[in-house]
This record gives sequence, structure tokens and C-alpha cells, in this order.
Amino acid sequence: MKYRLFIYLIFFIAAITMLGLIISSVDKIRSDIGSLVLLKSDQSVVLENIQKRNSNNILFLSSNLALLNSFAKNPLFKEFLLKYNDASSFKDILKVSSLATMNYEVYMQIIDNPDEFFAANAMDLYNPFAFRVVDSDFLNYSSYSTLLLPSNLTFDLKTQTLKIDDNGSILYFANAVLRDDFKSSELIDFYINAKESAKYNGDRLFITGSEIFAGFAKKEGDKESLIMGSFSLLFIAILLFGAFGNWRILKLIIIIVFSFLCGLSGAFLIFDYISLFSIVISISLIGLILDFAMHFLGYTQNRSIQKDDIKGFLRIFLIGLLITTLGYGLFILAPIGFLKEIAIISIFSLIGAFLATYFLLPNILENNTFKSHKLFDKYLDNFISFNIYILKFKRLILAFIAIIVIASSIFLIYELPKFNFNDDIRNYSALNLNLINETNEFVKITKMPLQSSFIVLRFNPNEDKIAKERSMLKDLNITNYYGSSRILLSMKEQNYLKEELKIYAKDSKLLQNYINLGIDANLVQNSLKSLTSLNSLSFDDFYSLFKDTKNPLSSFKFDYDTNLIFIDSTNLPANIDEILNKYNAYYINLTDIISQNFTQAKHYAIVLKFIAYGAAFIILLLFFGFVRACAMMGIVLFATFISIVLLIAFGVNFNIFTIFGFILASTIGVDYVLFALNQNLDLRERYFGILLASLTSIISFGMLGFSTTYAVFSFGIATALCMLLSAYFALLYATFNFKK
Amino acid sequence: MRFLFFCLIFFISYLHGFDLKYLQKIHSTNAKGEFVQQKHLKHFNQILQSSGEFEILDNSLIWIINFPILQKSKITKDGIYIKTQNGWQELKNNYDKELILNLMTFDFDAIKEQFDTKLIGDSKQWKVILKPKNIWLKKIFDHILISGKDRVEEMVFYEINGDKSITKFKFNK
Repeated sequence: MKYRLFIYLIFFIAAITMLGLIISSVDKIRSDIGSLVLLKSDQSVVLENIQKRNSNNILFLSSNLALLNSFAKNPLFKEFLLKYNDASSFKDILKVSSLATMNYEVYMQIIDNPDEFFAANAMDLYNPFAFRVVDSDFLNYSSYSTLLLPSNLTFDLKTQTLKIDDNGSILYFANAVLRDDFKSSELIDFYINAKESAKYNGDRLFITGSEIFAGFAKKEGDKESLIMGSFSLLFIAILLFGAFGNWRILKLIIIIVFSFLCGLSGAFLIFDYISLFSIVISISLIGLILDFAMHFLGYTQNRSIQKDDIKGFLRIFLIGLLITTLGYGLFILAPIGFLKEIAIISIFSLIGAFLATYFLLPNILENNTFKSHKLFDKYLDNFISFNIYILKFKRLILAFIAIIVIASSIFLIYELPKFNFNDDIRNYSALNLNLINETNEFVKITKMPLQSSFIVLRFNPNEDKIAKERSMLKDLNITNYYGSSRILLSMKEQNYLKEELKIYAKDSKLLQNYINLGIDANLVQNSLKSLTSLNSLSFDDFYSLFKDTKNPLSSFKFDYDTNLIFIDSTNLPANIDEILNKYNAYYINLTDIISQNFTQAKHYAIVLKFIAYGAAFIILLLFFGFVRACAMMGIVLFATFISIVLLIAFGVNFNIFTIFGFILASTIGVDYVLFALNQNLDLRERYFGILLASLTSIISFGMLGFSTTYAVFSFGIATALCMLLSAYFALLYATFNFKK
Repeated sequence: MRFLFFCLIFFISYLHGFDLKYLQKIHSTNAKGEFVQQKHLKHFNQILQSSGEFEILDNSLIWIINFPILQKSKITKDGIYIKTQNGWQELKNNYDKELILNLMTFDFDAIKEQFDTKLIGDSKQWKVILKPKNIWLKKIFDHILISGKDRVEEMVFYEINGDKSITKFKFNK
């Protein structure tokens, strides 16, 4: 009794400590996609910053201004920028930056075709639609400023909003920032209501933002998790009740919880941050965690459990633990963040499962008797009899296996060359098609490049930032971009323009354009002179002008010596890296980076898995001898091989998630084979343990196969299939050996 | 922005009663006439004078400058256009187009959203003073003064930068 209390106390204190550690470390969980991949440190900083900037932004376009106005009051948003009515220092900035912010096309016209420019400028003085914003600017050069035309969106003076003309239909633009503690369900409700309201009134409305995608994915995920989780639990509960005939078996949940506490707290102790993805993948360890318990309970069937019953399992448990932790331990060597995280979570969870099963479980279930339901017994006995029967035809089975191996090999030789081993994350997620179309339409109308594709350009001290950006973009042949050289002329261009204007001011032929219209040539010359007397402004000079007005360069300035240029990811030159290297720049395409990292992770995982197979073989060799070690590894490899062939045959992609499924299932497969050879158990007990352990896992993973998210589907289906085959082959092996 | 002024003229010039609603009726008929515009630019000793013809036709305005340049422009509900060798070319970069178009449609609700209006005098001799409320318009205009008798005769834009534009109208009988 004292021993039991001591054990309970130890586990309770350990569990509470770990729980405290986990709760205090919740902030370490990162759900952003960047946390999945291992980036160079500078890339990681840029990505994190960009995501932070964009993640809470929601962009709107609507034909109905009143509708947008009504959104401004929604408590979901902490900021809602629709009206631009902060013009306090705007005119002062325009006055000093008329030359620096001159539209690049106008600049080129002045340089290349001054006759045409000055003739048009003279006529514009009589243009009834033109007015001067800067009083000292006789020739109205400030009207060519990019500040008056900030982007593809134009400023609507009447409503003080930004708008765009989409084939004759006026759409107003608004930018909202979500409250920090917003609930994604509220955002989705808002989105649905807003769209319905617009549809009812016949208004056009586009809403886009990463949180909307995330919200819908979460909603869909929550729904799927609820359905799949409920069915998994129901089936597992029915199975456990059939197998153990007593609801007390649900005490096994203590083992599961303790194991996960070990896994998570171990990972939090080791890592500064953990990806949510790693935690989700690790939850699938539930099958492995229950393996120890299932084998023990198979042994204690139909009799009162005594705490010393577990002692005979120590050796086999330790071998299983050694092989599985070694298998996962190798993933620590992988240079991919989430592989390391999964390895650590798995190792600690398995150690926790071993400790809880060996020390805690016999105490919790002491004196309990579990007796299978008659129906379960009947099916189990029939299944054993069936396997004993088919093993009578050994030659036939060997021939059958040989045929399958040959046919599969031929199939793979034919299929593998056509196979694309590169991962593309766009294929994995079940993004809402309507949202994708809406975002595409938004980008098409506003011509705003997506913020997931950009160039990071670094500067040396005192470098002309705009000149460098323009030169680089010219070399790259990129014209559709969103960068600071859209706003500002370079220092070199400004100085050159000033020199040219000084020459033009003395050019009697050009001045004649004004004289012909009755305009005093001196006024024209003085106006040109005042323009050339403006200071040339560098990127940093111009940036520092903005204090109380929205800075048009803020999207592009990353830090004091780094700028960002958002570009269209299509039609990039083949030698982009070479050109970017020349300019001390690099290109980030979030989607491509993650896809490349996944492909790389997949390669590492395959290599490490083969090393793990080797290590497992050596361990089995030490404990079971060469022949049995070969047979045991052969079973696992054969099950994995057949699973791969079947998945390829059914057209399932060979992606990072299927690889993980196979890795997990084959690791568990080694466990099944080990328990198939447990001499402490009779054949029925071995069947019971392996069947229960495998079926609980197969049900959990098999349910994932119904997911609409490709990543989840492929992971679930690969794991369940490989486990099913591993377990069945292990049972056949157990039957074969037992007969011997 | 001066165009705002011309648009106002055409509905005010048909004044029958002495309130803004009644002025709206002015715009309901087509009309033709001549104009003379003077731009007084502060800091510059130069008056830019232009003259020409105008025509209101089916909710659109044709504005033809005959001197010192030859330029024909048009405002419709679809936009502002300049006549070039290649036909009517839309002015894309004009960001007060919406305001002008609203005035063309005599949308008093829209005008009052952006201007405080004050009507002085009687139907024989009257003045309308528009003071901008909109912060951006306030950066450009101090006020706009429209005056007339049986029809609009003069419109003056007093700009914040000290510039002043005076346009005088003469309607064809």
C-alpha cells in the first residue's frame, strides 16, 4: 500500500510539474508556417517580421462606401483605415519633395523628349481641371508627384478614400487591423455576414487576409477533428469494451496523458520554440504509447491483475523502447527544425509511456479482471484458426510473396521515373477555393503583388538605395513590382534631372512653348530654377520627413540597411540568384521555401530511416540471432514496401506526410514483431496484444484518411495501411513461430 | 477643381426660386454660352487668361478653350475627356473627377457633405458662398463665390495658396 502511494505521489508530482512547465511555455508554440522550416537566420528574421506585419491585416474592396464605413465600427478591428483625413504635413512634404517624388515616366519624358513635355506642360497651365497644391510651384511640377498618386489606387477627394476603377466600376479600398485577442470564429462570422449583406444589396465586396484563410481552415479542421475524433473514440471504445469487457479499461487514458506530458515538457525544456505542426504529428504517437499496455493486458486477460505481473515484460519493453527511441533519435541529426522537434517529443513520450506502463499501470489496475466479450473471443479464435490454416500452405504463400515482390518491382521500375519527389505545400492544404479566387481577383484589380514573394536588398553605408534597387530590377527584367523606387527617384536621377532642367531653362526653343501662350519666360525660368534648387533627397532623407503622416515607404523599409521589394513570382529569370548575389540581395518566396524544405526533410527522413532500420537490425541481431533478426526486419520492410506500392498504385502522392506515416508505422511494426516473439505469452495473448495495439492505432489513423486536407489524408492513410500490414505479418510470424 | 465652379453655374443660372433646391432645376435644360477665365497666381506677376465656349447637353458638359490654346474637353458621368488627334482621351490622373461628376448630377447631398453653403440676396441679385468642410478641399480652397442675377454671371475660386480664378459667363439668348 505504501509502495503504491509512493508511486502515485511520484507520478502526481511529476505530472503537476510537467503540466506547470507546459502551461508556462505555451507562448513557445508557434503556428506560423515559417516555424516549420529551417531558414538562414537573416531570412528567418525577415519572414517573421513580414508575417507579423501582415498576419492581422484584412484588406477590403467594395463598390459600396457605406458598407465599408459600417465595418469600421466592428469591434473585431483595432484599426480601420478607410478615410485619409490626416493631411497636416502633407503639403509641406510635397513642397520639398516635388523633384524627388517625380513620377518615373514623367522623368523619362523630360530626359528623352523635352519638347513634348514642355509643350504639354505649357498647355496644362490653362487646363481647367488642373490646380496647384504648392503655391510657389508656377509650372505645377508637384502635380507629377507619386505622392498624389500613391499606387494603383487613386485618391478620391470627395470621400477622402482610396479607390480603383475596375472596368468602369468604382471600388473603394480599406485596410483593417484585427484586434490582438480577436476570435477566429467571430472573424469568419463577420466575413460570411458581410458577403451576404453585399450580395443582398447587389454590391461588389472583396475581403482578403491570411487570418480569413486560417479561420476557415481552422473551422473546417475543427469540424473534421470533431467528426473524426468522435468516430475514432467511439470505435476504440467499442473495441476496448469488446476486448476487456469493462469500462475500467478507460483508466489507460492516464498512461496517454502522462506520456504526452513527458513529451511536451521535454520538448519545451530543450527548444526555444515548437511548431504546432510538430505537436499535431506527435499526437499520432498514441498507438505507440499504448503498445506497452496492450501487451501487458493481453497477458493478464481473464485473471486478476497483480502488480508483479509486469516484471516479465521488462526486457521486451526495454528492447522495444531502445529500438523506437533510437529510430526517432536519429531525426535529431536532421537539419530541419520540425524533424528535431518531433524526435524529442516522441522520445520523451515513449520514455513516459514505458515508465507509466511499467510502474503505474499495474498499481492502477491491480486486482481488476478483464474478460473479453464472447463475440470478441469468437472472432479472435476464428482469426487465429484461419491463420493457422493458411500457414499450412507455406510453399504457396512463399510463391505468392515472390509473385507480389516481382510484380511490385516491375510496377515500381515503370512508375518511379514518372514520379515527382518534390513537395509543394499548395497541394497539402485544403484552402477554400472561393477565398483563393477572391484573393486572386483582389490582386488582379489592385495590381498589388502578394506579400509572400519578395526580394530582400541590403545596402552598404551611404549607398544610393533607389539607384541600386532600380538597377537590380532592370537586370532582373522585373517591371511588375511594389518597391520604394516606385515612389522616389534615385539621388543620381534627381541630380541629373536638375542639371538637365538648368540647361532647359536656357533653351529658347523650349521656352517658346510658353511664350507662344502669352506666358512670361522669366516666370518659367524662375520656376525651373526653384525646382532645381530643391535638395536631392535620399531614401533615408525622404523617410525621415514623415512624422504625423502615413509614410509611403514604411512597407519597404525593413531596417536601416535593408529594403524589401515585393514582386510577382512568375517569369523570374533563370539566373536570378546570380544577379541577386551581385547586389547583395536574396529572394524569398515563402511557398517555395517551405516546399523545398519539405522535400529536403523528406530526403533526410528516408536516409535516417534506413539508418534506423540498420540500428534496429543490429539490436535484434544481439537479442534474437541472425535468422530471426532478418525475419523480423524483413516483415517490417515487406509491409512498408507493399504499402508504398499500394499507395503509388492508388495515386497517393509520395510526400513528406506519407513518409512520416511510413516511418511511424514501421517503427511500431518493429514493436509488433518484437511482441510476436514474446516467449512469456501464449499465442492467443500475443494475438490479443498485437491486435489491440494495432487496431486502436489503425482506427485513429484510418479516420484521418477521411480528411479533405491532403496532408492529413495522406498521413493517415499511409500510417494505417502500413500498420495494418505490419501487424498482420507480425501475427502470421507469431503463428508460424509458435507452431514451431 | 475649377470645373466644379462651372458645373455649379449651370444649375444656378436657371434660378427661379431662392433656395438651393430651386437652383437644381437650372440644370435640367440644355444651354450654350461663352466664358472668360482669369487665373491670378500669387507670387507670380502673370495673369493666365483663357476664353472659349461651353455647352450643357444631356447631362454632359462640353468646354472649349479657343484662346490662347485650342482645347476641347468633356465631362460626362463616365469621366473627363480631352479631345486629341486620336479622339476623346480620358484623363486618368484627375483625382477630383468624382466631385465634379457629383456636381454635374446636382447631388446637393453630396455637395453639402463637402461644403457649408450660404445663400445671400434675392432671385434678382444673389450670391452663393461654399466653404469646404472636407479636410483635403480645405487644403486647396478657402471658399468659392458664385454670383448672378437671372443667371450665373461669375464664379470665383479663392485658393488657400493665394491663387484666385475668376470665370465670367455669358449665356446665348
